[in-house]
Amino acid sequence: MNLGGYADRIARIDLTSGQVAYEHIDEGDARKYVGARGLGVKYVFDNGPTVDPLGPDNLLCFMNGPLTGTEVTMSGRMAIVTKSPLTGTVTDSHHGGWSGARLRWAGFDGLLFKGRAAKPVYAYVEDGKVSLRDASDLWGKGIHETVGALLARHGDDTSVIAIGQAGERLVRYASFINENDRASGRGGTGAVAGSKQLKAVVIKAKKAIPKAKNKDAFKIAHQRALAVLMDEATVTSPRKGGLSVYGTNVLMNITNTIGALGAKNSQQTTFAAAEEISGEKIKETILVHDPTCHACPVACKKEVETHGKYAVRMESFEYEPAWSLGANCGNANRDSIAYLIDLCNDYGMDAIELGQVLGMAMEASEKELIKERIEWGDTDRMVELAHMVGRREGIGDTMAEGTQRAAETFGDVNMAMTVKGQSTPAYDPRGMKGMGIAYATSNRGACHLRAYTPASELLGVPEKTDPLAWEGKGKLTKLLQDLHAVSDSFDLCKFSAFAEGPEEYAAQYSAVTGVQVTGDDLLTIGERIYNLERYYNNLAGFREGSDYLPKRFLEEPSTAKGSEGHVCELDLMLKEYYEARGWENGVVPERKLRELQIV
Amino acid sequence: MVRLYATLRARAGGVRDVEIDWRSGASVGDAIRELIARKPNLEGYIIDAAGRVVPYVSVFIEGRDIRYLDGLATVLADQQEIAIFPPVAGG
Repeated sequence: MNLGGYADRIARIDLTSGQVAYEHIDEGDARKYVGARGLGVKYVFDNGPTVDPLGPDNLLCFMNGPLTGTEVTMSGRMAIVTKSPLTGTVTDSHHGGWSGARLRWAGFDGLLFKGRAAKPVYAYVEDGKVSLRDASDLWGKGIHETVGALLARHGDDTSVIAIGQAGERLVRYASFINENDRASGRGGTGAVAGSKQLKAVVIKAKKAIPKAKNKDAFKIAHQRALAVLMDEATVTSPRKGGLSVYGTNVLMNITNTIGALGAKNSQQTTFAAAEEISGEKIKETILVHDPTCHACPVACKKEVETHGKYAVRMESFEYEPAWSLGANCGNANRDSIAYLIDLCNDYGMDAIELGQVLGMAMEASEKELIKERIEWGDTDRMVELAHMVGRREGIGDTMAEGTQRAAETFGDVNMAMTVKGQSTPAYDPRGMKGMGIAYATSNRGACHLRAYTPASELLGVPEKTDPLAWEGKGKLTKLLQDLHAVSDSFDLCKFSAFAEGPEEYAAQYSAVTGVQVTGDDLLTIGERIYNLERYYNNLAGFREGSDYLPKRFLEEPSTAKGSEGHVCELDLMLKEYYEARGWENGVVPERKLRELQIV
Repeated sequence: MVRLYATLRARAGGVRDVEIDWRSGASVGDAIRELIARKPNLEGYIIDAAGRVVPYVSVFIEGRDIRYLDGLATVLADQQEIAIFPPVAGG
């Protein structure tokens, strides 16, 4: 392949036989699907949409993109792509840190795992080679102990991406955790690894920045992108912008102010104690450090240290888990939230899903649908239940199946704030309508990152829209889904989109790879990736009626200031969205597949 | 009362709430100008030289963005709270 940015090397690892084969990337596929998420989805698609997610035939892909590990700002992401045991859809879950860059520096664009090892193994990656090594001594250990042992064994310049006990025990929302605390959180990628007896991927590589195909053009494109990211007026501005200073949890107060902060399993749309768990309060009380990722001056990670009963030093105190384990559970104790996030990082499980299944169980307890007493904001009980989920003990075994399956077991599925089996994140769609259509139509189940409409509804990028208006949100969601599908395929941090747009992306991608594209070309690529994912899901059984929201968002009006009286007008937005997509009730028609050159 | 958030709070010296008694019929713009008179470090960070709200800054009355009310001309009622945010986003 004659494109810049790529290592042009993929490893296929058969865990059943222990054989490793190496192959080049098809240049046509690279041009059509780029890398990371897009190319990973293509590999998973080609592997077939009807495989058992926890069976040996499922494909588990670790992917970087052509910009990963380059000098491009915020290019430190890695995508893990597979079929989800939580949703049954294709899923991709990304993490930051240095593993994506190191995979590229070690000479790879991707590692594709299939089969099931006879005993626990880890994959060791260095200098263009992959070997499988015994992990029997690590099986049963948490992430922190596993990372410590593997770093002691392999030394500096090493990234460890591991699963904890949750993945080993097939908790359906088990995560992969990179470098101790950077989570590929969603979709249960860790459970897929657990089913394969794959404990970790260890990548050792010294810094070796790939050269751009067109160095002069890259210099101009890089400086232009960096300038907009560094601009003091933007949220990404280092040490000045809200994202850099407070991290993602700078959102807690604004979503609460406008009545878009779900509380007590979304029975409410505001949380009286939001300030206590906000980014502002964290900075004032427990913040100790601002870590970052490869090639990122923003440093949005927030490391905290707590003392007393919930003593822990951990990163990162993010908005999503602060909401799920905080407001959503009626919990204003920030120390306990830090402790619980770290437990999720150590067991290796999705903190959003855990917070949602806890909130749902609290509602079930309140309604006396279950015999266990689980009170709102009972932090000791939350910690106890987190351990029980991670170990699949007692009621934790039911909760390990995810919010939707657990709610069905508890007797009222309407308590589950889920779409396609995955729990909704931290934006209540009664107070932020764009998130409603984005959750409903996300190809990996409820997700805020497929189409980050708060960029428009809160910040005003690419243009300001009223969070309470539904008109236009279908088209906005399509645009953002396509844009993010491309940035996920580079693989760039989504937060770059708060300052950069398709033209900045196009200039950098063109300079690095030598493929000349416009911003519109990139959006077409993003549309192709999004349609391939949807086609996969259609073939996996997600047909008409698969794009929905929990009844609570549709039928129980908000009572909070800012959004009082509002429900989410999903049907109206779906009509607009399907028209923009050219889909027929959520199904991709043959003509659209041909138009986008998918078939 | 005006409540400041994020970097605006830091810029105002760590103060979250600023008590401002507005007269009946006062506008949001009047209240913000009074706020800036009390906290001069906020000059240029909420309203620009042309008297408009700075891009990406959000001003809310009772949870509603003034862009969707009458902007800075929105008339304030007694006991209402103004919330002001600098550019914020995350994930």
